[in-house]
Amino acid sequence: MKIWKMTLTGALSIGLLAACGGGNDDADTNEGGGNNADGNAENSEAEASEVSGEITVWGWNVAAASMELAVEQFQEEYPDVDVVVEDIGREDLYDRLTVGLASGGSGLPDVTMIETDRLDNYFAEFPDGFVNLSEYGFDEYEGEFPEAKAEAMKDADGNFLAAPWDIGPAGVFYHVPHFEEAGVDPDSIETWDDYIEAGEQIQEATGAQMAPIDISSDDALFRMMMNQLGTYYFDEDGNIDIDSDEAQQALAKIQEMREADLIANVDGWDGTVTATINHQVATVPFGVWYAGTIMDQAPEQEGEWDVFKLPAFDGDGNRDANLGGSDLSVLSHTENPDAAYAFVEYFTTDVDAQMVALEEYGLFPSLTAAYDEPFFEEEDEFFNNSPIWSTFAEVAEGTLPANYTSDYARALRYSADAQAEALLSGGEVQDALGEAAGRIENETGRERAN
Amino acid sequence: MAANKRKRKIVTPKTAPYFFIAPAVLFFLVFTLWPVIQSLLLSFQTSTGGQSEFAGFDNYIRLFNDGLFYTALFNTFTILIIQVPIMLSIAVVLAVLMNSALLKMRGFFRVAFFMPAITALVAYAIVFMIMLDENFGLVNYALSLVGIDPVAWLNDPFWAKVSLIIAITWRWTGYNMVIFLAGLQNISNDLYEAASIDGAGKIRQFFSITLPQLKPIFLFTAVLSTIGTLQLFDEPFILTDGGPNNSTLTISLYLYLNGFRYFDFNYASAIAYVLVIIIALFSYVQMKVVGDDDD
Repeated sequence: MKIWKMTLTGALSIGLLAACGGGNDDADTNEGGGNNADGNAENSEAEASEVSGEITVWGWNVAAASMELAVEQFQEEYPDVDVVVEDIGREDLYDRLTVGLASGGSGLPDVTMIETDRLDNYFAEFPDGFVNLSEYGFDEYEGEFPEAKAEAMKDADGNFLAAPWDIGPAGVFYHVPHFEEAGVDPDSIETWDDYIEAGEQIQEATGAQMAPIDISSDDALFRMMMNQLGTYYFDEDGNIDIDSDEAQQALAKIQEMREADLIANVDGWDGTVTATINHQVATVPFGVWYAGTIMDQAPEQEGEWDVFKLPAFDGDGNRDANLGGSDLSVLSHTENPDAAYAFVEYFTTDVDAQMVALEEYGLFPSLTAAYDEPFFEEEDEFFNNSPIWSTFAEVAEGTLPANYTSDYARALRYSADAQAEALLSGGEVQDALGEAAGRIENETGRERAN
Repeated sequence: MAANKRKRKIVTPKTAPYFFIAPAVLFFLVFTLWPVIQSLLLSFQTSTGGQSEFAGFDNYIRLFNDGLFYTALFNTFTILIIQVPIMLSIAVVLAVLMNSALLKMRGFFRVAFFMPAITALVAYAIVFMIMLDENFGLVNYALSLVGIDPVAWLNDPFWAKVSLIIAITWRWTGYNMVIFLAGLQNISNDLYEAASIDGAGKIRQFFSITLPQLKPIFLFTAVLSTIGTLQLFDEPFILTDGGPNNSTLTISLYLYLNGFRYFDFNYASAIAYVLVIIIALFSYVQMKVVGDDDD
C-alpha cells in the first residue's frame, strides 16, 4: 500500500506534462483556425471602422508598457477595438504559451510577444498555432525592415508568422572615466586584439576588468561574435555549425580574454548589472537595450557612459551584430483575427508607435523608416553627448542574418556548456564546441556542417 | 409504503460516504489519473511538427543512450547520498535539543527552525543567490574577513553542488526536526528514568534509547527526503539552471528542459516514467532495509 502511494506521489509530478502534450492530436482538428484567414484576407484593407471587438495582448515588462502606450493612438484609427495589454513575466509567458499551444489553444491571448530567437522553435512545434500574416497582406511591409530581421519572421514556406518589432544592434558600452584614467582612446579600438590590449592597460591603471560574462549560463558575447563573423549555431541550411572555424575563432578570443583576466565571471542578470554600475568592469558588450538598464540603474552616472561598435576580428572586418529582439504574433485560435492583425500591423509599422517605445523604454525599432526621425541625430546627454542611437541604427542595417532554427534552445544550452568548459575548466575550444555539436547531432538528427 | 420510500432513496447512511468522497475521486480521476495515463501514452510516441506517431520504446532507448541523462542521475544521487544523512542527523540533534527541559523560549526556536520550510521558494532561492554571489555576496565577504579567498559558489562545478546541498538542508531540516520532535513525545519517560538509575549518561541514553525508539520516524523522514531529493527541481532551476556545464543538472530539471524548452514532451514523459520507477524502487528498498520488523 505504501509503495503504491509513493508511486502515485511520483506520478503526480508528470501529470502536468500530460496536460501539455496530450492536446497534440486535438490540434489537428483545429487546423482551420490558422487558415480561415483566406476569406478574411480581402477584408484587411477594408474600412478600419468595420473592425471591432476586444483583443488581449501578452507582453512583459517595458515591452508591455510600451504597447499600452500605443493603444490610445491605435484606437483613433480603430475606435471599436478594445485592447487589453497583460504584463506577464517573461518565463511565465513562455510556459503559459507553450502549455496553451500544446493543449490546442486554451487560455491564450489573441496577440503575444515572442523573442526572435524563439520563433522557429514555436513555429516548428506548433505550425497551426499562428495566424499567417502574409494572408492579411503583411508581405507589403517586408522591405521596411532589415533583411536579417524579416527573414527570421517567416516559416519554411516564406510566410510571415510574426511581425518584426524591436531588435538589439550590439555595441560596447564603456565607462568614460576609466578610459580617461588609463589614457585609452576608444576610437583606437578597432579589433578584438586592440580591445584586449586596451583592457590590459585599463586594468593596470584602474583595476577594473573588461567585460562581465555569466560564464556558465549565458553565451551572449560568443553569439554576437559569431553573428559578426557571419555564422551562428546553425548554417543557412540548418546544419550544425557551432564548431565552425569562425565559432572556434570567436570562443578562442573570449578564452584569451579570460586568460588575461579581463572577464568578470558574474551570476546572472543581476550580477551583470551590479558589475556594470559598480565599475568592476570598464566595458559591457551588449545589445542596445542595455542602454535603458544603465540609465535606470545608475542615473547618477549620467554623462559617464558612451558606446563604440563591436571591435572586428581583423582590420576591416565586420563590426555589426545583433543580440536579442522580439516580435508580435497572432495566435490562430483568436476569435477576432481582424482586430488582432489590425493591432499588430499598426504597432509594428507605425513610426510614432515605435518611436514612443524607443524614447520611453529604449526598445529599438526594426522599422527602418523610424531611423530618419530627428531623435536618431540627437546627442544623448546620458551617453557623453554622443549620437549613440545613430550608431546603433547603422549597426542594425549592416547586421548579417542568423538562422536560429527550431533547435535553438538546445544549441543555446550546449553552447553555454561549451563556454563553461573552455573558460572555467580550461578545456580546448575545439573539443568543447565539438562536444556541443555532437550532442545537438545526437538529439536532433541534424547534419553537421563540419 | 414506508419500506418502498426507503428503497427509492438514493442517499442512505450506507451510500452517503461515497457521495462525500465523489468530488475528490472525480478530481483525482480527471486531474491525476487521466494525465498519468496520457503521459504514459505520450512516452511511447514521437512528434514532429505537431503530428504524433507511435514510436514504441524509442524514447526509452534514446534515454538509456543519453549521456546527459546519466549526468543528471549521477548529480541527483550524489546530492541525495550526501545531503539526506547530513540533514537527518542535524534534524534529530535539533529535535532532542528542542525537547530539552533546560531550553527557554522553546516555541520561538521551534518556529524559527520551521520557518524555512514555509518560506516562499523563489524568495528564498533568490536570497541564496544574492548571498552566494561570487563578487558581491555576503558569504564571500564573511570569508574574506577571515582571510579566505572568494569561492565561486554557483560557478564552479564542485561548489555549485555544495551550494545546492546547503540550500536544501537549510530549507528542510526544520521540517524534519518537527517530525522527530513529534516522535520524541512518544518515547516513554520511564525508559530514561530506568536508564538513569542504571547509571547511563545523557549521551549513552541518546544512542541507546532515543535513536532506536525513533527508528520508524527515521524511516518515514528518510523515504520522504529521498523522494523529495530525487524530484529536486526548484533549487537547481533558480540557483544554477543546472550549470556550470551540467554539474547541477537533476533528473527533474532535465525533464523540464526537454518538455518546456525543447518542446519534446514525449521524451520528457519517458524521463518522468523512469523517475517514477526509480522512486518506487528506492522507497521499496528503504522500507525493506530499515523497516523489516516494522510492518
